[in-house]
Amino acid sequence: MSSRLKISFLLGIIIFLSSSSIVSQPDVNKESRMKLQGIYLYSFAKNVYWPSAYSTGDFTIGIYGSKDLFDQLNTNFKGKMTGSQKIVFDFYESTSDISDCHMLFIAKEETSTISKVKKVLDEKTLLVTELKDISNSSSSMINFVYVQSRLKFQLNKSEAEKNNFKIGQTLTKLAYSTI
Amino acid sequence: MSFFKNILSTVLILGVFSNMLSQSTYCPEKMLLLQKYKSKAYENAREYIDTVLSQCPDQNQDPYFWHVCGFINKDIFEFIENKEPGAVSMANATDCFIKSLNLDVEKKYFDLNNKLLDYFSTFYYNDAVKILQKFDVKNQDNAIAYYNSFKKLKRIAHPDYDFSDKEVDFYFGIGMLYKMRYEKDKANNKSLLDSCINYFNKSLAIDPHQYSSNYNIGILYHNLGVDIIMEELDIDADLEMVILMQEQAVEYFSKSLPYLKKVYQMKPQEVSIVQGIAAVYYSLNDMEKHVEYMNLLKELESKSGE
Repeated sequence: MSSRLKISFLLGIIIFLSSSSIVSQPDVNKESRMKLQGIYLYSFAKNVYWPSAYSTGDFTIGIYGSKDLFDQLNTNFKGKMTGSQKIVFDFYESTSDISDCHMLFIAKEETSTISKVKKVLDEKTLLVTELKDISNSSSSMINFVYVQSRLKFQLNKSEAEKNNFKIGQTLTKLAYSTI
Repeated sequence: MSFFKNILSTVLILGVFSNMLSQSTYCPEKMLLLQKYKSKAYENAREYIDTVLSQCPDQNQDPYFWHVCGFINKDIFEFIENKEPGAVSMANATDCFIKSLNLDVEKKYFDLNNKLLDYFSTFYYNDAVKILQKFDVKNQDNAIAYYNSFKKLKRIAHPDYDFSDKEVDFYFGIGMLYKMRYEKDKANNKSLLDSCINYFNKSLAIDPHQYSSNYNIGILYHNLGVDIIMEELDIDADLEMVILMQEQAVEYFSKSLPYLKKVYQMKPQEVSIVQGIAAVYYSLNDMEKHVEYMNLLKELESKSGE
């Protein structure tokens, strides 16, 4: 009888402790998603070649619509370089805030504003989006897409090349699809 | 324990007479051993066991002799070693009682030997459980050894004993110790993960509906998925590596889901489970399901706030 009591007590303690040590909060999952997106954006910066006119000074990555991603990038990628350029990050709350940047990421929530955004962009900006499918957009150059739970990217090579961007071989090889 | 004491007094008296009457070879050393034991010179008596065996080798085949040796060690365990977990005297005592049991064809000491083996099985069991209760990870191997001793003795004392309930809890407890060791230093203790999951699964093999093992495997797989991205994936990693690690993470998230769903069926009101499932769906980018469980979570939280 005493042994039976002991095991119940054991389970009681363990269940209490295990319940109180859950790591599975949505915040952590969100952070890991942001980290993945950040690594991809950083890879795009390293594997897309801008016209030489834009290869001096800081390399600016603008984030529109996702403060979480901006914070993640600003924390984890601060001081990173692409070639000889130091990468800096900018966050834009509205289309009117968007300014001169090498790469602009438009979060899914702001997808409807793409055409408006496109109007304020200059030709040095590589546009990265989160559309359901890149073939529905003529403006996006790189698009994040989830395929069977995996974050992948699609390339709109013709649109990128129209603006004199050269997409590196690694990106071409690893893209989920290219148009 | 006065029960064992009274019985032993009877056994000692009977044993002395039977020894004097029935043994073909008179063994004065054995008489001396009994005297030492009766006068509570337990350690002295224990040391004298080898003398008896060397002077009277036929005692090796005497169930009574081994029965008494068992008592000598039992009393050392109780009165000198203060029932210390894993005490050598306990192992010696059980060895002696088992020998006595095996030699006792007339079953003169059968009941008492069995009762004593059962008595020690409880000590082994409780010592194993104590280690689990204290999360004493340093003594994890001892917990397993004690538990195995418990099973061995219990099987002798009660051949039909059903270990299922205890196995389910014990394997889960050992799984938890492995989990704790792993989580203390994830980078260096990754090898412990397999053992951890293995023990949880051993528990589930006996009882597939055991809540705690299902819950912990579910959370563990989920956390492994998160850790691959958050801890192991270097921000400078090349894209091939990113894709590979993402693949592993998704695999872990996918493995996590059936366990968490199972415990959800058992405890649909448990906030941490709903939170866990919502998190897994988020990581698998199944936003429809994520929102569904987040809404459930809100409902639960608002109910608990009422």
